Amino acid sequence: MLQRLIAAVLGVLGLAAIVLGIASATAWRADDTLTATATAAAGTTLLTTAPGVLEMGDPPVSVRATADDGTKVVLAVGRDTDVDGWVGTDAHTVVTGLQDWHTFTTDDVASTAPAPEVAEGEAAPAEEAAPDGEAAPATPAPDPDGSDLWVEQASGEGSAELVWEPQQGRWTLLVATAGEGAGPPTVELSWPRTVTTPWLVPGVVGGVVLLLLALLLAVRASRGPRAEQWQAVTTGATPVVAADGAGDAADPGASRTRRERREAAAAAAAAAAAARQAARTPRPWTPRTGETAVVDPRPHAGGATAMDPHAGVTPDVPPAGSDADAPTGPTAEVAGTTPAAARPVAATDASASGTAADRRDGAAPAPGPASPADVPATDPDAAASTGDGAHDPDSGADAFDGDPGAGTVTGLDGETGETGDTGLTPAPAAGGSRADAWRRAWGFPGAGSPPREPEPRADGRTDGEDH
Amino acid sequence: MRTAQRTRLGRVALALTAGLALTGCAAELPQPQAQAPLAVPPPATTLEQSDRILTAIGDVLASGDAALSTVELSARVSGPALTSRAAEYAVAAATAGAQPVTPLPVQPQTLVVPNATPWPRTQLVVTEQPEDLTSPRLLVLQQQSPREPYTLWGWARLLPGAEMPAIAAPTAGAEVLAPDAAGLVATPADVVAQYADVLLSGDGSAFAASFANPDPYRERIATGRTTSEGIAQGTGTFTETYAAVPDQLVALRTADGGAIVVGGMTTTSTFTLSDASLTATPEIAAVSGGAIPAGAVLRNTLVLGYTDVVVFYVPPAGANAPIEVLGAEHTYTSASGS
Repeated sequence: MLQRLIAAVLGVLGLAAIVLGIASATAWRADDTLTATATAAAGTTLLTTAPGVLEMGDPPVSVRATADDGTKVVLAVGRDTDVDGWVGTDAHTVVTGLQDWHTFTTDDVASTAPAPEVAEGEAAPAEEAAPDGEAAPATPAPDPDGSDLWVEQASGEGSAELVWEPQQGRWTLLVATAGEGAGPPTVELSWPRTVTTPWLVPGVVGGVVLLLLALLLAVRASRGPRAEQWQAVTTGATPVVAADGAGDAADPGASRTRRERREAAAAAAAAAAAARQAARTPRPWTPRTGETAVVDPRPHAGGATAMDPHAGVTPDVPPAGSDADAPTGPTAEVAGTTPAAARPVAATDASASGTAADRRDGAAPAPGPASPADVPATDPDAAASTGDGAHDPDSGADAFDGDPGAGTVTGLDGETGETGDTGLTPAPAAGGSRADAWRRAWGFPGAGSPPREPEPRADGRTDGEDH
Repeated sequence: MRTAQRTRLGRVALALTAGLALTGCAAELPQPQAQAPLAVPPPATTLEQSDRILTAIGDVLASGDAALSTVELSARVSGPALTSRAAEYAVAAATAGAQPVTPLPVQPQTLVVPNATPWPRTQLVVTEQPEDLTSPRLLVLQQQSPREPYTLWGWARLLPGAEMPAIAAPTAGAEVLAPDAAGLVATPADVVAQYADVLLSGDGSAFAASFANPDPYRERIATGRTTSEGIAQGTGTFTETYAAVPDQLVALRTADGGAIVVGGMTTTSTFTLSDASLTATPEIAAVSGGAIPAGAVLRNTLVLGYTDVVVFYVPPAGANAPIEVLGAEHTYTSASGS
């Protein structure tokens, strides 16, 4: 239920993300031009831009100015110092920036003229627009048209336009209405804008991901219970085990994860328990383990452990001999190179077995689980020294470990060396040893079965497999 | 455990989506970002502007020259230039072209543009050689105030052998020097005043050593004076005085730390007649502004006024070099007498 709920929420979120992402690139997409306007304060005829305003957007900036009643409008671009110089002390309006996307912020500058005759008319300009506007007619508004100061200019009756391509330096715009009765001009600046849609891809991709996630959850939620039943069926693993020898070894082993291995081991244990109880067939609900168990055998000793239980049931099953052989070959070779690994195994075995007698058995079983281990153990015995053969391998192993155990051991070591090594490779032996211990504890014959010792390598391996 | 993880995942997704929705549409308003003012002020005019100004001046001169009328000149010609041009028109008209006006080409060869400073602003233009193959002119353009146009304030012929000192590139702008600017072998104002003394006293002047010698302009003035003195010999006396015009001074820094100084001067030539008479020539009558009718016989005095523009190169202080006269113009612009 919860999963379905989460799936639904995720799905909605995903859809929302996609919709928002697309909307950000369509419905909410910003304009291709940035256009804003400003009007000079009432009573003034001059409007300028602060340095940098002309460069607020991508170049070039298009300027359009209009005036009421078709009076003359002049647009001029000049250095900021020139524009300021031309404006001088006259009252004017300065465009300082953007208030919002379509409106400029402006700054009204009152006339700072000393006090000539005009002063009276313009003295009270800022606040009282009307008087100014009427006072202005007395003296025609100044006309910047044609001044040498401008690098770009345009003029017209009622409106004027120009396009300014920014240059190095500080350039500002002067907008003026000229002539008698000129009113405040209105200017509109527009820049082309490269509109980006930064949210489109993240929105859509994220949304899709969320949707997929939701879908996945939904599917799992609806299939959950079925899956369990399914597993139950699979439990039929047993047959696999039989086949394991060849078939299993071929493929599955590799893909195991540690966890799976662990589970496999657990499964094996469970299986063993089952075996113990008798030859009961596995129950349908043991699914998981069943499956895993199948895989386990090949990769490592664990597999062997898993098999052990079965072995208990069918001790001779080991015909796996072939299996054993296969691994042995390589292991034997490797052994020589990595003796260290071997010891631990041997050690564990030894510890597990405890007494010498045990060892006898233990030694055999120890190797047993790890097919390779067995081989060495047996081999040394057979080849090098008789009688204590079983001990020898162990001791040999110990000696390698660094415990210069008994003199005899040492002697043996030299000989054992190779064999001992061979046994080592299969680290997993641990599982095997555990199984052996178990077996021993319960007096199962599997491990200690005599045939191994007498028989040369082949036997040994067989034994190992038995375990 | 799994469900817990998923729930967390769901929350994160929710937060992300919400954030996206809220920030998606809020782009920042662009702010004006002005370039910082240059450490070195830019030139007052761009090359295009200078060309435009020169063209405008050339047009005005052309129409004025064609009509021999100063009516249109005042828009683009001022100061000594206007005075001189007006006199030239009068003379040219009076002599029916026998004494033509000075050709003033406006195609620039070299521009000396000042950096952007308060007004008045002045720039110098060395023109191409005129069609009559006389020496190139140095034009002095001046803008008195922001709302006034640049006008031709004065011109001078470059003297033979004169070399214009290196000046700042037109893209940088030359530093404008005050009349009393230090750092030169003499302040701009002093240079003109001292030169007036040198013209008057010749090698006898205390400042003669400060100026380069030979000096073609000085020689010409001396020659003219000698000639006039010769004419006056026996019939009267001839005196000539030279003076700097205080408010007609322009100084721009050169690349080597010196300066180009353009100064307005006046030359006053006075014939004092004793027991003799002079008949006013058409030229004199023309420049007199009607005070002396053509053909009038003068029995007492004749005073001719000249408007001069002299261009100096003033080395930086410490430089062991003389002040050079690069160019000059000497035009008689007034006459009075009786």
